[in-house]
Amino acid sequence: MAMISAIPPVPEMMGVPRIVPGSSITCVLGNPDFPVSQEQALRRRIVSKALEALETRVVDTTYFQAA
Amino acid sequence: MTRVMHYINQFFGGIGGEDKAEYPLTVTAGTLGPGRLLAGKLGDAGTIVATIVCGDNTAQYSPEHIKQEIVALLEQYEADILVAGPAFSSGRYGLACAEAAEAAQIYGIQSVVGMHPENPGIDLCPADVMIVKAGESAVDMAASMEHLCRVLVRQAAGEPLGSEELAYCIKRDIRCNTASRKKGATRAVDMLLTKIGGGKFESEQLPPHFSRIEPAPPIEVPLSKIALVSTGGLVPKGNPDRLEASSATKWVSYSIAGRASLTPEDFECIHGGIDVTHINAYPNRLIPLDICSEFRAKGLIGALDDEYYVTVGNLTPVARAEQFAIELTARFREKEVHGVLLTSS
Repeated sequence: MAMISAIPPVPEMMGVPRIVPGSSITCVLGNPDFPVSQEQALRRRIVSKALEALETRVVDTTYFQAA
Repeated sequence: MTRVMHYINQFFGGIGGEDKAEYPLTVTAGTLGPGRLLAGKLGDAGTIVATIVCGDNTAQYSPEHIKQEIVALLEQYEADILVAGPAFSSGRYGLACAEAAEAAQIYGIQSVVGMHPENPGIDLCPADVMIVKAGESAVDMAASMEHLCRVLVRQAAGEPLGSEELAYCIKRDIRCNTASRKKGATRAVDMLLTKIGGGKFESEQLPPHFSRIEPAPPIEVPLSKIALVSTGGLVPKGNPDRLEASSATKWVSYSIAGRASLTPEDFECIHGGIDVTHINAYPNRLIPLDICSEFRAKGLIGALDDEYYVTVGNLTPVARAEQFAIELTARFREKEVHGVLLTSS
């Protein structure tokens, strides 16, 4: 499991092993101020990072930060 | 003689197993099932005036309604104290026992509950409820009932528990108000200075304890089936299963077969803790089905589960969320899901 969260310290406190920081609380996989194509690109980057997290061996809580 | 109300589930009430988990809340005068053992141990100290039997699923579907029914029955039978369980390791039964204990608190009487130390129901029991340690399963019934009875007799008599009885109970970190000669600000600064100076200090409050989660081994995503899960409360328009906006009592799943995107016409966000405007405008902002479908078509993801799974994290107790995870994992194993993307706010 990889968790995409807008408030990473919360899953970190719970001990979630694979955390992917999201965009914002009300729009974790997007940005309403972006034009559609730019928002899609952002969502693509975060989801790719989450899939990368699923493919990565981890021991303790690890952050996977999308570019 | 103390009048005891006993709460048990459908299995211990002799109704049936998992197939009878939706058994309605019913009451029977006197004892049922393990209540007979308890009554024998109580002797003259108390009498079990009635036994409430309720299906484990029923207790989860509408907890407020169940609590009200229990309160009414406590009044009807003029109960002095409530005993729930022992629930052993059964998670839903433990949660139901916690609800029964809450009902007792509402009615204004004490309760004693029995369950295994790792039962998720523990954290949902009101702070002043004594929880007696039980084993993992009914194999431990005799010992569990013996200890439950000892604690029950003390509580009913209003007597403090002896050290032996306290050892039978599960230790909980409960905060109590007390007066101090120094203000909180002064104590905090003193503690900080001691800490900086390398001295020994004692924290006034222990941080919450969350058990370590063992990370799952990595998977090869292009060869794996991925499921989309969210605590963000995205549901079909109209919220057909009435998922709660906060303190969710369940998780639900909805078909995304044939869908490449979650559309604003068909879905809405009912999460009660955030502004849902942006998610409602474009639900893929919470559950990224659009991107995952694209990746699936390109072979970057092996397969997508034909359903997505959702609950609401807002004010939902950790213990209950743990129970959801246990149930979801069982479902994922059935559906041969290899990996999960969990999204939240």
